[in-house]
Amino acid sequence: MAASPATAPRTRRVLLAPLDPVHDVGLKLIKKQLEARGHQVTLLPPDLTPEEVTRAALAGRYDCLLVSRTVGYESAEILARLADLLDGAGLRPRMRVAVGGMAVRPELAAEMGFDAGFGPGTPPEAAVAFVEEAPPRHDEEALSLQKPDLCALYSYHWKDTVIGDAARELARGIVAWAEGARTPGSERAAVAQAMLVADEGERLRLEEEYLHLCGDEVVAMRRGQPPPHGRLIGEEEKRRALGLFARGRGWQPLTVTGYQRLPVVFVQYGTGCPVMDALHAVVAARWGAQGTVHFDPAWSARQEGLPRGLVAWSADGTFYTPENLQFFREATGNDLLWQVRAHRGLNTPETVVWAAAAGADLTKINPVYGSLGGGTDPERLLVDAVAAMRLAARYGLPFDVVTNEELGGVPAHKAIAGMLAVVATALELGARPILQPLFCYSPEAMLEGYMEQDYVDWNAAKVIALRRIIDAPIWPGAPIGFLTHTEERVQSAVTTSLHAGLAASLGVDAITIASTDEAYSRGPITAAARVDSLRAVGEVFRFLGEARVSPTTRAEKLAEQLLEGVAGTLRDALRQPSFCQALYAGVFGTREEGGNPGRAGRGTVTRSAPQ
Amino acid sequence: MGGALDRVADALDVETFLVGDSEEECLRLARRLMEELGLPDHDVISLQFRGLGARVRVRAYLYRPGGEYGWLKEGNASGG
Amino acid sequence: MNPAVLGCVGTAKNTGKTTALTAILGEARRHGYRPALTSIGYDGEELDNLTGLPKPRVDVEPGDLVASALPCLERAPAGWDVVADCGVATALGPLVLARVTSPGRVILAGPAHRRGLATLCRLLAARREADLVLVDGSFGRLSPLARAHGMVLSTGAARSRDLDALGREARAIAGLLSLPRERLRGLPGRRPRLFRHLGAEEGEEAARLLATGRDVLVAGMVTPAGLARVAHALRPPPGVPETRTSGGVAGGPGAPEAQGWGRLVFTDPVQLLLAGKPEQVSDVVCRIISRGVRLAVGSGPAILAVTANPYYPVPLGGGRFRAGAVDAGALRTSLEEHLGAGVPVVDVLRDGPDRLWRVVEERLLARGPRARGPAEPLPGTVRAGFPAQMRGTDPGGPGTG
Repeated sequence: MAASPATAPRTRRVLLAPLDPVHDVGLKLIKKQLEARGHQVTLLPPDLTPEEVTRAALAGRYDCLLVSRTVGYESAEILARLADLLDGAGLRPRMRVAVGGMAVRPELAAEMGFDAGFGPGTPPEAAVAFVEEAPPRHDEEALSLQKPDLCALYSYHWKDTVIGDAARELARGIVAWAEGARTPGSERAAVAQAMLVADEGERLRLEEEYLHLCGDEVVAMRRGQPPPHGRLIGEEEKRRALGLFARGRGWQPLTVTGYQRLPVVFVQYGTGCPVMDALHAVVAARWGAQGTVHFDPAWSARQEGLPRGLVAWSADGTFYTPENLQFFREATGNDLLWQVRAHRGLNTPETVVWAAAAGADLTKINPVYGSLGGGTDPERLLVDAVAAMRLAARYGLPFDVVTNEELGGVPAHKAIAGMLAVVATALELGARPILQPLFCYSPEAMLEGYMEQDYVDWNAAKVIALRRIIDAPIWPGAPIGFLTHTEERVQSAVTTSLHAGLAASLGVDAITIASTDEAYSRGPITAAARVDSLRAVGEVFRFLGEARVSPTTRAEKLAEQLLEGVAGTLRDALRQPSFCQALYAGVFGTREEGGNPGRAGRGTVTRSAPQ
Repeated sequence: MGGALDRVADALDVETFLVGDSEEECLRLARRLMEELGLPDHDVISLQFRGLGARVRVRAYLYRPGGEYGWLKEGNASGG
Repeated sequence: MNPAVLGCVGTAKNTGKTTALTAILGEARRHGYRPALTSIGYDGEELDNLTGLPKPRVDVEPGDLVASALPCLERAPAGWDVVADCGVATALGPLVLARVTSPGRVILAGPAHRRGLATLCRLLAARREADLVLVDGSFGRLSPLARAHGMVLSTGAARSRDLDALGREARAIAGLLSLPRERLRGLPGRRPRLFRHLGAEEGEEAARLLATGRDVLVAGMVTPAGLARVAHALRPPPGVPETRTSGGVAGGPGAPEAQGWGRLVFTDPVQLLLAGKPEQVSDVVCRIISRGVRLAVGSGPAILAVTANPYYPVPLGGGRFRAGAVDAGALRTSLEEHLGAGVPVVDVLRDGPDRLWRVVEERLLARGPRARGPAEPLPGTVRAGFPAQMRGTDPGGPGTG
């Protein structure tokens, strides 16, 4: 924003020269801002020759000349000639000269003899700063991000009392059921917490204790054996990587319109290598992402215990190790909202500990998805999830509650009912949950034809329904547009961006977006694929501004249908002896529907007190 | 300082439109194109044939996660 | 001691300017000179910023001084220590003087204007750590080189495959750079009239003043229309036939100076080179001289040599190029015929770097710090191409800039 003239620095005389055949709107915008700050501005007519511009510059005592020109081969010669004439006429360096245009880069400006060059997308403020000789804003400073608190605006008030009451009743049951239950996962979380504050000797003792709670492969890795197809990253490599990423940090807004409160855009990372992850995150931040989500290997989720060390492997997902997490935080600075997911495996509680220790902003916990779609035994994960939610509450880490079981075929109303039971549990434990409905072309939607007409109504219906249930933050995932992507880059970017536009229209708090490599499964995601999606999302945000994507009346009907289904599912769950039993019994998704209670960690729950 | 290929973050995508008679021919052409460019380790990411030829994107990974990246070599990482 | 300042300029991209500069740099080191290297604007990328054509590298050796924008040095593979902040801003960051500590390439982003180059040269003179400043310039960015003492002009097939046209152009440029040096000191009560801009109106006025014996100093922008008006408004003095100079043709022994006419002095020859196409400007300048006006320049670079490059890039599509070439011998012959013996023609690749170096040493360095520039009148075709008084006798130098 331009400051008021009262605070503006000394008045400058500025000459604006459009060297293009027509008036450049950029110069007009700059003129307006400069005048608002009290400067004397002369805008020359377009299409003058370098000689004519020089003559005009000679005719008045100007402090600055700003030239606009769309650079092509000829244009470069014209600009260089102008710079030469101005210099030859003795106007330099008293009069400072800058050029703006489509292909202008600082190198080009330097080559052609200008003091500064402004490329496309440069805000008029940059030209104003040049005129006023304001010190160039340091990148970190210019791009500093006020990290938003996704939960701050919400009361967590249950608006639908029928659903709210049922969810809360289930939640109280879950908390009571988990009381006194222990698992190797919850015990490791306790050891991990002790490790964080232990001295060296104590840590060695704790490590032995920790190893007793781990599976064989994790023990081998903790004793220095690299993972299959993996390696440890050395100190020198780490140092170089941190040096490299320190140069690229800082967050760049997706759009500069500011017309509407846009959802916070998250990208997922988990290439297998923390260095490559950091590259992706830094690139994504520079192209407008405000948050990142760490994906750990599916393999690791089935193991008891987490490896350690700065470790990379060539398979999907990056290991949670204290060193990997610490490295990522250091490499990306504190610019991005950072989610470290705890939700689905055998290491759920201790992941929250390490995430909090490394400075994560968010985590992810949902025992319903984790046990029905993530392969972990429901009893084990429910105990661990309660422990994890307690830890998240203690560390002040908000977490989303995903509904990814939909992707396996579980109907949305069941997935949402499970999510709401977990949300109620989180609230019971003093944590701050975030709703995560899926924006996806789910098997249910395919079978029922919910998305035959459009991709809008069904996704919108989920948000409409959730808004009627509870006043809580909504973060559609993950990624939005799931199962609508193809391997074709443009299609992929477009579908992601249109789903983002829908999310913005619905006023949700955050979204997680895919790269354009989302549907490509034969190789790792590339950095370029990150950029492409983010550019597309930025463009759609810019396109929509304050306008909205409007669902049809069908969305309302689908929302009503969802509300009924959710209430019904919660009632069914309450009829079961326990929430845990409800998970095994298929209340939140039958095997036929795709809800498959997992086996990892079965029989590992011990109880020190009567249930 | 290494070459420009050292600075490729991960993969090199080649996108073009290949004129051909069938999807199979275009697929063969796409692969041959990469061979000719000296990129034998490649994968056809997307190929859409519509009569006259195919819109195609082929990828060659220069660095896979967990590998040793050229852009992180001494000189490249510090010389920017 | 003031270091000698040598500008390397090409008539077009890929005419061999950086090759010439690199040759001089290498020879300067070999002969025990302490070179400092900079550029006007930006140079040193592998691909040309504007055309995408490949460009030769600028490699530096330990001990060399380079003046470049700090962020560019930070991207350079060569090692270096900052010696001084030059106090000059560039579009890419502050200009610093650095000493090379390990060999490698540098990206040069030097001062964009003549004041900046002058500031840098003052700094180098004060530090006494360099005796030769090499400035990578371009014909499209010439103005700052008004502060140089000598200029090596590179031309060749990348500019034009018309060898005669290349010769004519080189002769015109060399001729303008060889105009006599004169420091205008007005007699008491007869101060020269100063023009900051020589347009058509000013040209008319200047001609009127010259005819009344008043000296005219042009210190700003010169336009072709302004020069033409001077030439047109001045009638030849009685009894003196008008000398035709079309095509840069000779005026024989030269027109006798009209007694009592004022002197027309331009602050530097670069002003005239900026006025338009060299051949056209040179034509008009010759016409003014032939009218009997003493036309001179205050200071500025002297032409030391012209380098000839027979190669030119042929686009193959897809951003790739192959080298095409004209006949190297024919190119050299054409240039030599047009320039005459006064301006050596060097094909750096064929003649080797030492030939170019000998010219630089003889015509720039050997003359000492006070008398840099072509001390000898320019003989041969160049001399024949211009009226007699265009033979320089008062060379510009560090003391006069």
